[in-house]
Amino acid sequence: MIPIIILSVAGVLSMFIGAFKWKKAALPVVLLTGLAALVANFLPENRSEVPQYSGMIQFDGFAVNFSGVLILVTLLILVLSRRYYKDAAEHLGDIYALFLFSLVGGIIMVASNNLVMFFVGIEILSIPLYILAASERNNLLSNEAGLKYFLLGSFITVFLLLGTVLVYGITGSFEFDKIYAFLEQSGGSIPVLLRMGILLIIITFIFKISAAPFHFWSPDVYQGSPAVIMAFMATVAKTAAFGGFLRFINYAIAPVSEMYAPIIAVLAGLTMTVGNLMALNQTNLKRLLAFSSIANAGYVLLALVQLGDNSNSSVLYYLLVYSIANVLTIGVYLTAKETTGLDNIEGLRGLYKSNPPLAFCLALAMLSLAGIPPLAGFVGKYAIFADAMQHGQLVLVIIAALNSAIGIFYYFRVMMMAFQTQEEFPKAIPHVVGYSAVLIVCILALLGLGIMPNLVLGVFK
Amino acid sequence: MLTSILLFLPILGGLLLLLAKGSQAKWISFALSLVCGGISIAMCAGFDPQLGMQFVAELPWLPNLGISYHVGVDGISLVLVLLTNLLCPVIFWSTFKQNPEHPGLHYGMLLIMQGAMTGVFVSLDIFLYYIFWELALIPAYFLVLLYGAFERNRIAMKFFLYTLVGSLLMLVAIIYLSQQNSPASFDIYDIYGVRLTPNAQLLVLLAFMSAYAIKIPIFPFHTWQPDTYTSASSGTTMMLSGIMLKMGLYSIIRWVLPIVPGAVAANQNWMIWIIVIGVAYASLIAVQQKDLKRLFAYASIAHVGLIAAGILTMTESGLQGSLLQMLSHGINAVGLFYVCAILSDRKGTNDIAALGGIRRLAPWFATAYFVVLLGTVALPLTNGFVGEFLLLSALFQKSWVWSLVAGSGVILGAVYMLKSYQGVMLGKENNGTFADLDNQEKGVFLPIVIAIVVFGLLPSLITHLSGPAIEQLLQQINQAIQAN
Repeated sequence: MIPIIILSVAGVLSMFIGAFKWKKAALPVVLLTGLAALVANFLPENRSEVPQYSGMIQFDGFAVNFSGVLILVTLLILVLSRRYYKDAAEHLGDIYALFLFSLVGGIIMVASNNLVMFFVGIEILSIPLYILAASERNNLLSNEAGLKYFLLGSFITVFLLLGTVLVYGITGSFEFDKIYAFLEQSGGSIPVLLRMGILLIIITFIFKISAAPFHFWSPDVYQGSPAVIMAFMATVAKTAAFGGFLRFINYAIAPVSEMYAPIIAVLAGLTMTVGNLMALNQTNLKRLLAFSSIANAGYVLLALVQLGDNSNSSVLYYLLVYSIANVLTIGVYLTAKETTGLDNIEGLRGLYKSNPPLAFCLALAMLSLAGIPPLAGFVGKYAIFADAMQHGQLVLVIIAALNSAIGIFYYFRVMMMAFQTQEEFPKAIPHVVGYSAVLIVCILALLGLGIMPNLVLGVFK
Repeated sequence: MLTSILLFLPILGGLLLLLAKGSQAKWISFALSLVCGGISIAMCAGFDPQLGMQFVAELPWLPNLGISYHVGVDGISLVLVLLTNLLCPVIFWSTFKQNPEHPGLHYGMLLIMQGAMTGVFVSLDIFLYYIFWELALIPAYFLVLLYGAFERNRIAMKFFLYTLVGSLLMLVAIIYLSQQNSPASFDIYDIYGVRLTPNAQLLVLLAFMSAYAIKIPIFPFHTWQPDTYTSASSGTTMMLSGIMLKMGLYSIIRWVLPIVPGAVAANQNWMIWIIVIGVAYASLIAVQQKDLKRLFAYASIAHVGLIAAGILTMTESGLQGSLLQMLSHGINAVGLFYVCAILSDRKGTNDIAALGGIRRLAPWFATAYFVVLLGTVALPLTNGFVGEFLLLSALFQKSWVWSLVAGSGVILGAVYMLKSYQGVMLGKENNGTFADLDNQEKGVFLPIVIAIVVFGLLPSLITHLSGPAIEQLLQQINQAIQAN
């Protein structure tokens, strides 16, 4: 609960800073409070193994670890955003505030123990994102992204509400543990309406993690949104949605796994295939990352089909590593976009020749996303594949393995662009403070977590 | 300890070189690879063939997943370690003249590749093995992409994708195997202890072989190879053909035969048929080639096909011959591709028709080329002979038809090698000058020529290292087959 309070207060503060036009103070204040929230998150005072606040929220190990990832990745993106918003934005204070509010929503999602709280979390996460997506007011695509995201997002909210109502109507409770107990007692014979309710809630998640067949919004929204916002959506919002999904399955509907497992299994296979195939021909980098994020959602879904002892840690690890690789990619993209003005992967052409370190950053990010050892992305894939295999999902694992091979094609196409040595990339603009630091942190994380994955894989032990 | 140094010295050195600039890179990489060569010889000297695994290092790495850092060498892997670490200095040295752009990147990648390939040969944990297997691929990809001659984007991508698809199927099989133990374990002895049903064995065999057939490459999975070898710079091609493809052959001996011996015995027949047909097929294509480098690329398919067939016979002469032939193919391939490098350096082309009459202008070069050629066509008293003889006799023991088909490949081998020599070195001179080998180039050929002669006269240098290990392996295989 402490990080939620700190971050909310920081958000309000940031808005005041914006109102008083102390633009320069906004980011330091936000970053410092963010760090404080990160530290507070892991304090023993923050933890509790029983639900608090009338059973609304429960900061157990699961919530703490997922919130840690959410806050950490947000901080990285905020530092990067300094490069993006160098001269532009007038409403910097508001933008940072929206980032923080959205983060608070994410934390509520991964910590909630109650369907109503859960709904509140999803909305707090999403509404700032609708605004942020459209925050580049003079850009038509950005407006389109905001509108599309808002319309579809609020439409899907109805599903969640209806599902919640149905579940409440049958089980008589919003609380996860009571729902769990009800399902356990019912012993397989579940009323149709309850099935409907659970299914509707699952659909909401499928939409939020942009898995097929509810993925159509994400490429347009990602492409139109400002790059740092896109990075936030692809990493923090997705991690929060997956964290919430995993929590819902774990704490509420695990007893009826034979009901939802086939659905998730089919969606996992479908999602990774659709994402990878659609990504093959993309030339716009943000769009490509959108499809890549769809494909990655498919891999993570694989872990949700049958939960085991290691599922939580593998999902956490996978999402952390995936997020870091995405932040790194967007970091490099920011420079390329700034220097060449190009939105597509052509903008990266010849990066290696004029700026080798940046090209290596990109290469590491792509190798990790593609799942090549010894980078962290490989261990993430391995952990999920091994988990799924243990639960007898051999066919799905083979599909996933073949899909990773397809993934190589487009990740490497991006990387190849940077290593085209015939052409010269324009000399990059000097680095902004903090920018290089983020890239270095990301690289160290990708290499370090690849060699010592137990740092994260072991947190639930 | 020595094994670990051999692994991490080149990998860490290579990573540092990636960040370095300037022309010292080549000297640093050469020195490091020489040190590794020295270490591998020291290991050889301290190795007792009767004792099985030696120079073992075992540390827990990811104990909750059943993964450990476990490395060591036995007689079989020692031969490959020796090949890798002795060839690498020669290969690095041979590229000095070309002054590749971005030397830090070039030599850093080569060093990482050397370390990773050594890792494949010494890993005794199948997860660790997989990591090195893939790690070797990344530098290779970048070398093909950055230093290739033509169509390098397409070729690098095809090379990587092709080899990775196979590897991913192998990964699935590895995960499956590890989970047959409970708790999951990737250690070689636990993996060897796994008993599978015949159906599961067949699937595991297919998954593993898909990785190896592509890597080696075995007909009909070879289509990435000629383009890649022809386009890549000579140093890269030497690394790929001289050492990297041995990863696939070695892996069949180390992992496939002991893990799924029953399935190999049951499916030996059609696999060897495909392979020996591939040998003849690749030789036939090689005869037609007009480009020298491409010709050697096809010749390589034919030679390694024969090795793979010999391994799959699961006989002592097959395995012994395969080890000898892996070693000599590595040495000869480096020699042959160096010939190409010199030709294209001097004449700007590898087109056989555009060359000719070089022998009179460059006697040293002609001699060196001829010795390498003799080794390649397996003339008695050169290094190629004993291995090829053992391989053919192993095939003959199983079926005379196989040895006939594969033997025709060997005969064709003499045809295309001599024909190429004729076209390039003899006949009419095509436009004038050709400088003979200078000291640096002699320095490359000298160790190759010495190795060709020495291993031709004294194959026991190798067989005495690997003999006991192979016997033990065969015993293990036979026990496993009988137990089924």
